[in-house]
This record gives sequence, C-alpha cells and structure tokens, in this order.
Amino acid sequence: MTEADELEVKLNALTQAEIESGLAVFKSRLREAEASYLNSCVHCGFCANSCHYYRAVPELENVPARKLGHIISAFKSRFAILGRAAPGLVGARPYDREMIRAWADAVFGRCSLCGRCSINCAIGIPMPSLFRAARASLTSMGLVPSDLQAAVDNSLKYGNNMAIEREEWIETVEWIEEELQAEVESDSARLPLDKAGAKYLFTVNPREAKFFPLSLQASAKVFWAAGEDWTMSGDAGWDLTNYGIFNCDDEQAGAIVKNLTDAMERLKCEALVIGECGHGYQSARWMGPEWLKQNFPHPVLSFLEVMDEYLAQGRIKVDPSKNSLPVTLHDPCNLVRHGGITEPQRRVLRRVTTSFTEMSPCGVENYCCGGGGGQLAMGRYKARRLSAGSVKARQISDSKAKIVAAPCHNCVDQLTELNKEYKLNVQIKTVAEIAANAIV
Amino acid sequence: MSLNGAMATLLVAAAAWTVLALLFLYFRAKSYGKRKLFAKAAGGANSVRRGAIYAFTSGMLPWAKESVRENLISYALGVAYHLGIFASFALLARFIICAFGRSFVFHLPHAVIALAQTLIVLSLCLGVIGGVSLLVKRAVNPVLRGISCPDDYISNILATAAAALALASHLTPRAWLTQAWLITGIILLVYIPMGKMRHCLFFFITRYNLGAFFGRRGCMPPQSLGGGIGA
Repeated sequence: MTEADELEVKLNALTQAEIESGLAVFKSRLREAEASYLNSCVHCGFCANSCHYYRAVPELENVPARKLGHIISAFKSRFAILGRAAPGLVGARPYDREMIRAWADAVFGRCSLCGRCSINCAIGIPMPSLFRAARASLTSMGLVPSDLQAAVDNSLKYGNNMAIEREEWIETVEWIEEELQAEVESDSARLPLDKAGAKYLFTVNPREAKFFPLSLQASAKVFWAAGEDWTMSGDAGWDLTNYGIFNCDDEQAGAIVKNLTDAMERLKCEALVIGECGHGYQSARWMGPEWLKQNFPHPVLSFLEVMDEYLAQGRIKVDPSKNSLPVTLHDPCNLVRHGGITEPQRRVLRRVTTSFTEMSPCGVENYCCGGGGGQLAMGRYKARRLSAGSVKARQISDSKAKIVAAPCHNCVDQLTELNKEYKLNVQIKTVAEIAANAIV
Repeated sequence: MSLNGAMATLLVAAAAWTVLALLFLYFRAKSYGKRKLFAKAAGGANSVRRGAIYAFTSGMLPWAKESVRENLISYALGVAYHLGIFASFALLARFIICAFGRSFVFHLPHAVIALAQTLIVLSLCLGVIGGVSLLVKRAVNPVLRGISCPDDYISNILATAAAALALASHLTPRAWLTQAWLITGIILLVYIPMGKMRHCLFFFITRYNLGAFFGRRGCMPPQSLGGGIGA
C-alpha cells in the first residue's frame, strides 16, 4: 500500500467521534493570539511568492493564504456566527473528510513550517502556529505520515530518532575519538561521555553517529582546540533532534526534550549546547520550556555561538587560507527565522574562510531548503520536496560558491539531494567542519 | 426629525453596532486565554517591546518585506485604498457632527479648511482608484480569485462605493447622492464586524503578536537594525 493509499484508508475509517475529537484538539491549541490570526487574513495574496512551494510550482494550493484558508474555513463553519449562518458568504466549509484531506495535504504536504510567509504577510499572521495546530489535530486522528511518526516513536523508545542502541553509540564515539586523536596526533583529544560537572553538555544529531562521523569529529576538534571542558551523554540525552516539533504532539515532544533536561540534571553541566541543527535548537531553546511548562535552569546555546566565542576570544587559532574555495551559507529556518541565531555563523565563516559570500536573499529572508518541517521524514511528499528545493538550488547556483555551509543536518541531507538532483556540483558542509579544517 | 438627523442617528447606531460587535469579537478571542511562556526571552526583557515597535514601524515600510518590494504597485494601491476609506469615514463623522448642530470647521482658519478639503478629496480619489484596481485584480488574477470568497468582493465594493459616493456628494452636493452615500455608509458600518473588514481591529492584535513573537526570539528587529542573538 502506498503512503497516499494509507492516508485514504485511515481517512475513510475515521468515525464522527474521532473527527470531533480532532477538531477539539485543534481548538485546544488555540490561544487568544491564534484566535485573532483566524480573523485577520484579508486574502491579499502577498504571501504567495514568499513560499518556496509556490515559487517552484505556482499553483493555487501552494499559496500560504490558501493553506491557511482551509483551516480558517473549517474553523468558521463551526465556531463563527456568520460562518454558521451564511457559510457561503465567508467561505466557511465543514470539517469533514474532504476538509481533513485538504488540511493534511496543506500542512504536511505543502508546508515546511519555515515561517517565511509570516514575515511577508501584509497583516503579519504567524501562520506556522496555525499550521502546527492543524498538524496536532491530524496527528491526534492518526493521520500523521507513518514515517514521521516512526522517528518520534524511536526517540520515545530509544532516546534517539534512529533507534541507535547505547552500545552502538558508545562504540561510535570511541571510534570517532580514535580518529580525532590520529588526526590531531594527540591523546588529549577526547570525546568525553558522562563527565559529571563538565561546563557543556554537547548534543548531536544521530545522523552524525550513523552517517556523518566527520561532522561529530569536527565539533570535537573545535572543543579540543579550545581546551573546553565538555561532555556528551552516554544514555538518552545525546540526541538533539525532536520530531515531536513536526508531528506537533506536544506531549510526545515534551517527553523527548525531557531526555536533554534529565541529562543536564544528571550530569550537572553549566549549559546545554545544541549541535548544528535548526529544529533541534528551536525545540530545546524555545519550544522545550513551553512543552514542559518550566523555565530551564540552564542556558541553551547553539554550537555556533560557542564557536563564535572561541574565535572572538582567540581560544582557537585558524588559518582561513585552508578554506580557500568560495563558501556560501544556508540559513536553516528553525535556527535563523525562528531561532534568532543569525550572526554567529557568519562571523565564524568570515574568520575561517577566505571567500565567504552571501546567498540572495539571506538571513531571516533566506529560503527554506525544502527539507524542514519534517519533510525529509515524509516519503509521501518527496517529489514535492525536491521540486520546492529548486528555489534553494537556484540560490546556490547564483552564489557561484563551491561549498555550501549548512548549520543543520536535516538541511545537509536535503541540500545533498538537491546537489544531485540539480547537478550543483558543490560540497555541503557544516560550519564546524569548515572551522575545524582551518584550525592550526 | 429631519432626514439628515434621521440619517445621522442611523449612522451613530451603525457605528455603535460596529464598535460593540468588534468588542464582542475581541473578547471572544481573548476568551481563548493568554499563552504562558517559559523560555527566557533573547536579548532581555525589552526584546518583546522592541519587536512589537519594529512590527508597527520600520517593519511596515515598503522595503522591509520582500512581498512588498515585489508588489509595489499593489502595495501603493492598498495604501491609496485605505486612505480613501479613512477619508470617507472622516466625512461621515463630519456629517454626524454637523447634523447634530455642531461644527468644528468654523473655528479653523480658511487655509486649514481648504487644505483639509483638498486632502480629503485627493484621498477619496486615490481610494476609489485603489479600490477599483484591487477589485479588478482580485477578479482577474487566478490566484487571488482562488483564495477569495464572496466576502472579499462585498467588502471591497462596499468600501469603494462609500468612498466614491462620498467623493461625488462632496463635489456635487445633491440630495439623492448624499442619501446614497449615507445609506452605503450605514451598510458598510453594519458589515464591518461580519466580514473581513474586522481586520481593522485584528490587524493590530496580530501585528503586535508577530512583533512580540519574533522580538522575543531575537529575530525582530533584524540584525542589521540591532536585533538578534549575539548581534
């Protein structure tokens, strides 16, 4: 059975009680801000071109206002006076199977929750907050794509989204440590595990352990060069990813982020450092405290901020001529537009390369690579993801860069696919990999 | 009661309905409750305020958003349209005040009155041009047509008609034109809370929340204007 067929089967099996429950979940996610957003769209269409899906394929269903329109129309049909009295007038439509199908297609299939539409909206509607509420509703009815949910389930069961067992994780870390020691020719280069009282608890994307060990090795090299007191968790609490931010089940997302706070409590580190990952940073820094309904007693830092500080303080010495190929920078949406980390990575790259050039547009205006919002984990929408990525491919091509720095492993994966799909002939690297290469 | 007095009374009643209905909508939205936030704001306690101020000031300038930079004509038409709407409301307010035997214009110098009248006429002209152009654009552009519902057309037609009739009755005062303008004004006021024109209230709430959300996270104002983490 294909993913699309699976959705249809699940849709057809929904009972009216389940549909009502799904709508109740949507409503429960609204607060006064979101209730106001539902009354704000004027259908001006300014948001259309801000969306990479629409830029790539300019069809109606890719317009953010259209996606939002599905949500607003269902809301109005049930909860607005005129929506009930004269639905045709205000475009209200019932929350039925057809509407649920439209929601799923819009918020899972045509949106990476990048938020670019928000900053370009004439009114200023933060649309992802409503798209998240819609995803939560769909997830509660079991309509979340199964591969996305599998990543969440892995995190809940194994403490990481790739179901890596503890022994495998520890062996990988030991192996990377040996590689690093060989690289820097020093036994002092360590990847410490479970070191209580270390200054930083460092977290990584499981893809680094599984497929990109050089990335973890590069981060460790930076720590080593700076003489930092750091550690990673041997048990749950080393994986920074949190796909609960994408299925939008706050309870599950909270349980996953708790792995990090528990590890912090167990190891009594000063600060939690999130490796290069957009959604991981947003999850731990911004959403985690909301999911757990508590202030974190420790700072949550991006590894980019840490590297920036090392360079500013002269704690690591670099030779930028070791990175002489032109480098451009991709801005992960969760890190930059939703995370506020915009400048540290730029300062790092300016210091460790000889030819850094910005994409156009860049910073908070940069385009999503297409892999955000859990898109990489949803096979059902792969063709759309690659098509929407054509906007990013064009940006990279126009930059004339040979290396694309991507401070996010999900983005790295998507950019790697775009590199093949659009024959960009570039190298995709994390900022740490580029920085580590310049260390002298 | 004179016809003008009756019309003014109806206008006041319609305006009262608008305000009350908007208040109802506002409190209904508020009934969803405020979200309690736990994550520490980036850049200190002022970041929310700075973000909100940016959202209402620099963030609304034409060059601040790509969507505006790429749609400058539509943006200009939108500004013109809103100017015309505000001017037509100003004339309705003046009508009500005059109908109840009050006049503020007598105390103003002639030059100020002349300037105000010129600005009102200019704004109404721009408003009509803006309104008609945006209506045509909505009807012709397939994307805009696709995201529109009848309310979008009704709202535009009502507001544009109010501005056009205000202009016509102002330039060529005839009883039937004035009555048509006033009746349109009453319908417009009654319709405001029912359709998308309720954004006259929710725009401010939404825009504040946008600025507060991104300001808190250090994304607004943008780094180039001194915002952001580690800027």
